[in-house]
Amino acid sequence: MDKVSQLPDDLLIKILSLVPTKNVIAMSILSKRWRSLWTLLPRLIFGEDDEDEEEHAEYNWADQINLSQVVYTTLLLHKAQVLECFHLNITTICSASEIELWVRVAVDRFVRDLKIRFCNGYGLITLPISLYRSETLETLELRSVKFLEVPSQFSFPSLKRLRLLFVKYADEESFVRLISNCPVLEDLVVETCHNDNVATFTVNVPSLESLSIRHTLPYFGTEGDVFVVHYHSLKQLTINLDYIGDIKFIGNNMPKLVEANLVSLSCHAKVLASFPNIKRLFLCLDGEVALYPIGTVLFQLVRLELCLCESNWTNMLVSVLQHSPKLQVLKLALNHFLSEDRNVCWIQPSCVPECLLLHLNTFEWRDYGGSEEEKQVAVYILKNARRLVTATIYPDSAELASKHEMFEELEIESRFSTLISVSQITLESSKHLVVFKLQCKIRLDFAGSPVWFRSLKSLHLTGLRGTEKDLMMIKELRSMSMASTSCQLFLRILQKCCLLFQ
Amino acid sequence: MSKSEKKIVLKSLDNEAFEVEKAVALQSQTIWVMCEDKCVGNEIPLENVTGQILAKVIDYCKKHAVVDGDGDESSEELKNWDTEFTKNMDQSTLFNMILAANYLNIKSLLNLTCQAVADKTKTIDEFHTFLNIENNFTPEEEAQICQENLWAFDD
Repeated sequence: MDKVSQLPDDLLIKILSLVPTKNVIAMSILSKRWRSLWTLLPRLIFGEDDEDEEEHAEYNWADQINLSQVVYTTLLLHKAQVLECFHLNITTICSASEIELWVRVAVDRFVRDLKIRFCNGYGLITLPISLYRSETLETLELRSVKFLEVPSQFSFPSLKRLRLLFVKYADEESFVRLISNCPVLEDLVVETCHNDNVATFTVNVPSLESLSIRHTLPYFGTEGDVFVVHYHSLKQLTINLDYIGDIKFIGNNMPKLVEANLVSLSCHAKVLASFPNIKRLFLCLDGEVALYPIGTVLFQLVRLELCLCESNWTNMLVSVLQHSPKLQVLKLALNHFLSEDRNVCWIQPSCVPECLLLHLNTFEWRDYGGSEEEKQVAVYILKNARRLVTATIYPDSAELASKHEMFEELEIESRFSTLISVSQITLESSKHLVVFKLQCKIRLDFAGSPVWFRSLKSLHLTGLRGTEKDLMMIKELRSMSMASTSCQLFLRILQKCCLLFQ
Repeated sequence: MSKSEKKIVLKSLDNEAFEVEKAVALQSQTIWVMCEDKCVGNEIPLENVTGQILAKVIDYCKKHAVVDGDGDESSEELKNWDTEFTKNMDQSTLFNMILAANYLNIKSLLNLTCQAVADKTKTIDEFHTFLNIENNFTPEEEAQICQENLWAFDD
């Protein structure tokens, strides 16, 4: 007897509910037991749920045959008492009355997670009135949906997560009414769009913990938009780059906010002053709005991620370092496309920030370009971060030309012993360094400076070419690591080098 | 209940004994209930789990007991660990893990292992091969089912 048939029905259903609905139904061909099994599944997902697949959505299976027929047949045969999850990713034209009917069935079966998404962006529909009767709904996602009407009297007593993407509202009141009638709403995502009939999005939901704001098309049509956000118990705030409308916060400060992702032209850095207890911060702010508010100290901040796409990122870095005494994790990365040449300048802080001396343990730099300024920043941090445990630097692989230049530079410097002193200073001063990762082809010269391996436990080197000199260096590293207590050497390099350790 | 210090012994079907910290073992609701009821001593016999599988379950519980979920850094790492954990398990091990997770009532492990099976069986053919299911339909019945659910079969 095959293994899987030994599993009880409830476990099989659990597994099957994780498989795409289409495949599960196709599995009815497998055996008699399987034939009826799918009708008990608590999840029905039509179309491709994965947003990354959106581009291919038009070639979706549901497109090739009549979606309506599929949904009707499935719902007709489906026997599960409770429909936990009902997702409609619609790629073809469905009539509003059809969708109304399906949603009614789902609501009658106590649906908890409902999604109606038009994949090609054109299928605006009327939201079925039956939806507003649902008392079980916990998660609702609507995309490319048109509300003709939000009833004046209704409530989603269980709704916790609401995603309104590319939704057109009947009027401003409809939006306000919709979110105001969700007494336990915790997580709200709003993607505004052109002609959505709302100029001022008022978000005043006391239970709200997480708010994310974005816009469908970047730099188009949000100039007039205003978000009025009442703080209440907000813990997480995300404002995406593509939203360029205005944002107003109501309330003195956000005592509960612990995480903020501010990637926007519309968000002024001065809002940082109203985040007294922020722990995690992602920043990408440009121009005048990026001036760090004077006198603001982020006492609780432990993690900072900074985008390098703006020319003044170094100023922001210095300001935050100086004003967040407990920072432990620092990540630098280029998250956005660079439209123009940056004029980065690095002015070393007059005194070493407290967080570097006492707390910073993780430093990661992605898209490291190797310019003079960037090098100065890297050296400064490595040199002064006394508690550093993990340092990871990934060079910008997209720009091969500058990459070579960077390596040239480092090689030349090593010849003039600058690099040696760099590694001595950086690593000697980081006596607590346990993991050190270098993802590049630089050649380090360690002559006479084995001291920095004292507490190193793990060294990752990737991208080496396995030349004679590389082998020499690895040998040297190897002997130095032997001297330390328990250094493990991780080398993802050419096989030639690996042979050394066998 | 004082934690961390206390150890507990889990005994598998084939009499293999594992000493683990209580905090690790208590991720299993089944063991938790047993301990609460005080119906067992310091040694808990697990009649449905072999030593080989139990060792893996304990690995999982140890990993998930350490990380207390502060900050996304650790949860990201945990996720990667989970992926690696199930990646190279063969069919038989995975099913035994599902049964063990179900018996021991460790919800997150059950979700993880079920997801792993689901991920390994994206297409019908994969499902057929991986699960090794015996087809007990007559050819006529099979043709009829194909006809009924035509839409599900056009890849």
